[in-house]
Amino acid sequence: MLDFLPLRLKNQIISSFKQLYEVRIRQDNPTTVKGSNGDGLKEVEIDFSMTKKQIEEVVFALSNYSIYTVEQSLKQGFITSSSGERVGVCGDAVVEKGEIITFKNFTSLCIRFPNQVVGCSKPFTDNVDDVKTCLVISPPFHGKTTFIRDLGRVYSDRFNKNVLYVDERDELWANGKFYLGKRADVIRNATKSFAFNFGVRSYNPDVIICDELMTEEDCKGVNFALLSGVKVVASAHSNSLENLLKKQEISRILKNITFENVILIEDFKIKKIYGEKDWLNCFSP
Amino acid sequence: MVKLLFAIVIIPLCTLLGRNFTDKYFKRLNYFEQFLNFNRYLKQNLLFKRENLVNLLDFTSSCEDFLLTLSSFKTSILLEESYSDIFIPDYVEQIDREIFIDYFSKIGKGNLTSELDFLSSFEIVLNEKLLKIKDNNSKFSKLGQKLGFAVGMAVTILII
Repeated sequence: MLDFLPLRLKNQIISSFKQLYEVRIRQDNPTTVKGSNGDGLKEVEIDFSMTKKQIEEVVFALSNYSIYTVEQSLKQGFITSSSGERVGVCGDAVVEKGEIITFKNFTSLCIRFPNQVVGCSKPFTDNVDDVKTCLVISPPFHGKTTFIRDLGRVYSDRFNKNVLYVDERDELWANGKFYLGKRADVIRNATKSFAFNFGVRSYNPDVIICDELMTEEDCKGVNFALLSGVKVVASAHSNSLENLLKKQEISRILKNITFENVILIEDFKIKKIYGEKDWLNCFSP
Repeated sequence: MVKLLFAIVIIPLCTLLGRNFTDKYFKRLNYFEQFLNFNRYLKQNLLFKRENLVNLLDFTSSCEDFLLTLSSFKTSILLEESYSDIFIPDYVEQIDREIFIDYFSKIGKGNLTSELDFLSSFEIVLNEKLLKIKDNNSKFSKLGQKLGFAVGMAVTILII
């Protein structure tokens, strides 16, 4: 854990909280750590600032000293460490022909720690007797990835379904850090559109779990799987159903998809569960 | 009979000693050949498996000095030590030593395209150096062996 950081900083961070959620490192500024000791989420400031060179060394270490291995994720502004932490990087984007080819001159890092909360989907799964096609929505950092990971585990272990995790950013499996179920398969680092096609054609899953629908292509993948008779559990960033549907890039496809349940997560808890009727009503004139 | 036995022993012994004096030429050749193999290995990896560099440093080689170079490079990156501490054997000339240190300080830091370009251009440099080394070897490496043989013969003739 955090082996890519200077040892002194690593020790200071680890000793800050029992449960770490987020660390922010900014060039020539104190490091901030968000975590919990079982008494709610807190933030502390650590008197350790990193130079630009140190931050670049951290990025190099994060790539296992091989930037080419993280080229694709770096283009999207993050690197997943070998122990599963997702590290967002800020710096100058290098653009070629209108496309970001990499980042350079790193100035800050945002380390997020994936957490597994076994049983967090219980309030939902206790009331269902079979796999449901679900859309899980929440703002960032409110626990939707944790929720869908647990939902997948329940579908695998309790309902004995073959569960395929589409783990584009290596957040669900987190380099093997988390148990995903005895009938779980994981396709990592592939785009969602590829993974949905691959899954349906080659892996015969009962349910596909995927995180963060962001683009029209992602939603098309979900639609393809559903039309092929495979259940899907997906997540998306939003604080309400209404706002989600205002996202033009995904709502055009989403309105063709029928989710049996839409689950709104807030502060790591289920805030509201919408049924199929609620979902369809959103699109009625 | 004793003199003949002495001759049988002294001539190969002197030849061997002479060869040892010029052994660095052979070692240098072997070291550069292993370097070239390693560079090709990195290129192949980039084109297909794209494993990380640290794993690739467990490269198998018949040249112990080259293995020492790789293990000291691994230590340098893992412990964030200076690249100038990387072990390069004495028989490698200063100018080549600097080129190798520069090589180690650059690999792993680029994306696929830049990494491939770098390794390809380095391969050209290494090939040119290997040609020169082979040329030098043909001139000097046998010299010690021949001189050793001549000394052995001279000693034998003097004694007989």
